[in-house]
Amino acid sequence: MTTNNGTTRHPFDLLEAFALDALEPEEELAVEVHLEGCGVCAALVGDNLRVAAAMADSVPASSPSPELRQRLLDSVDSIGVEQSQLSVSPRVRVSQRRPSRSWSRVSLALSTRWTRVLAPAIAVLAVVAIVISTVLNVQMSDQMGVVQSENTALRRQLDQSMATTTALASASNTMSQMQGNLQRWQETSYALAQPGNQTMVLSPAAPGVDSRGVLVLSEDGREAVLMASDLEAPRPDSVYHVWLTRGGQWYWAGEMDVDERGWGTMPMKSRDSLLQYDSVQISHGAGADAAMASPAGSSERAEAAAGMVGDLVLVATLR
Amino acid sequence: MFKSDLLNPAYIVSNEEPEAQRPLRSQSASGQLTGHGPGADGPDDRELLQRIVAQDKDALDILYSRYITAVYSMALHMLKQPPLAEEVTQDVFMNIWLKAASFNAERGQPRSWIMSVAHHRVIDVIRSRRRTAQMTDPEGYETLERMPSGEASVENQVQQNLDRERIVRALSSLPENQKQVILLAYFEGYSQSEMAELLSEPLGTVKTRVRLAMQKLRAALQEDDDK
Repeated sequence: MTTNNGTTRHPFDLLEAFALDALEPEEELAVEVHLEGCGVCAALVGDNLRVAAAMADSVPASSPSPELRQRLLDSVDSIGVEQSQLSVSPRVRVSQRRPSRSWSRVSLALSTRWTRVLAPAIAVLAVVAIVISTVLNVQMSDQMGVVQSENTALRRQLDQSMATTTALASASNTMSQMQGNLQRWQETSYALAQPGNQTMVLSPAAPGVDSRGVLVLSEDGREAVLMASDLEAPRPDSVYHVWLTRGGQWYWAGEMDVDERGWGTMPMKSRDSLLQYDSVQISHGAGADAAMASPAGSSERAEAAAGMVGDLVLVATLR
Repeated sequence: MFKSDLLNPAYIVSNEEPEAQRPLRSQSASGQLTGHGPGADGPDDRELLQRIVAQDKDALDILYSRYITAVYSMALHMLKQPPLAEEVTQDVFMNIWLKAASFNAERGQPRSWIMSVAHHRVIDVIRSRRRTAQMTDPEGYETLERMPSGEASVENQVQQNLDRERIVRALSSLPENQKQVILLAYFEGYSQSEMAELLSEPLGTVKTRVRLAMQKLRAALQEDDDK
């Protein structure tokens, strides 16, 4: 997979779904093509395929009818016969052909009194036949060569078509992303332009963090745009999460897209005012779903969230 | 099958089964792991695949014995119909016969590849059928037509039970919404986009759940291996 500036991008975010056969066809094709030349991703896919294979162990065991084995072996035999017929070149087949009945008739003629008369003629005919056969074989070899070169050309065209398809799939993905980004920017710009907005600055949550951020809140506190810059590019196995905290409990607010420049934006909407929360925090890690799956407001949920939140990056007090 | 059924992953994998059915379902669908692991008797799977590339039918026969239970059980579980599951299983082993050369050790173990070939084929059938008609789900087929596996040794049955317990335990440890997407994807053949539509969730949320679920399962299985 290639980015706009020509560098290779590893499709880390697609490898789990690839192992589950849960990608769209164009994504699957793009991953397949990438895997041909990437040992890193191939190894990760190997790990994921192992998990997928283990999933099959969870189903109850059953056996097919005993006849299936024989049907399979019969099919293999029939394919084997077809393959062996296909793999024999015409020239070999001619040379291996058993004598026909016409040859028997010639043998019979040789034993007659006309032998001496016919022998020279037959010898001449045989020489002519050998010459013709040789010429035909040469022509056939030439034709085989032509067919092989055409086959090579077709393969090359097929490879080119595959590359084109992959490029189109990649372009289609890029286009979808651009459309999504454009829509997001429209919404963000609209929200930012509203009168009565309040702006809150997010501060680094730990020493050594150089990131910065702002939260622009609508007047009623129900809509907001969170923006951050100078973030580290996300690691392959992690994402940036946005959290709201209240009374010591953590609530997952969503995942923030962060680009390669470390710039992240996330629009937020809420039925209640965000000002009811104590703080908004951005973390770099994985596992927000674990927190979301726990009962709302429970201590387990708070513990799960705290355990999965990862590294805190930015924080702003809301009230 | 109703949409509400799909939203309840419990119907796919459950530890709770009627007492009367236990004898029929007493072993897992594992591909007889003890038959091809380190120290096992007979040639290992890599060697068998190499021999299959060289058109060795005996090697295919051995591989069939090792994996028939795993492949067929998965096919039957997902397709619900024994004749169709047999047909697909035959296709799977034919694919292995014809494409063994495409096995790439860089992408994992032979078992992973074999089950991946099988899963891919089953998913193809499911998606093709979903496009044309709803899948039938005949009641009672388990007790009437499902046959218990009779090919595994006692040692292998024990190993298979352990394998099944291990993955069921790992799946059970997942949050419900992660388990839901992973089961819908693996056993029902839904793509991430289809799941997002089915569950009325953003595509990004579904993708995150799939990734997290797989990462947790991977960690859980690794932890078991390390013990």
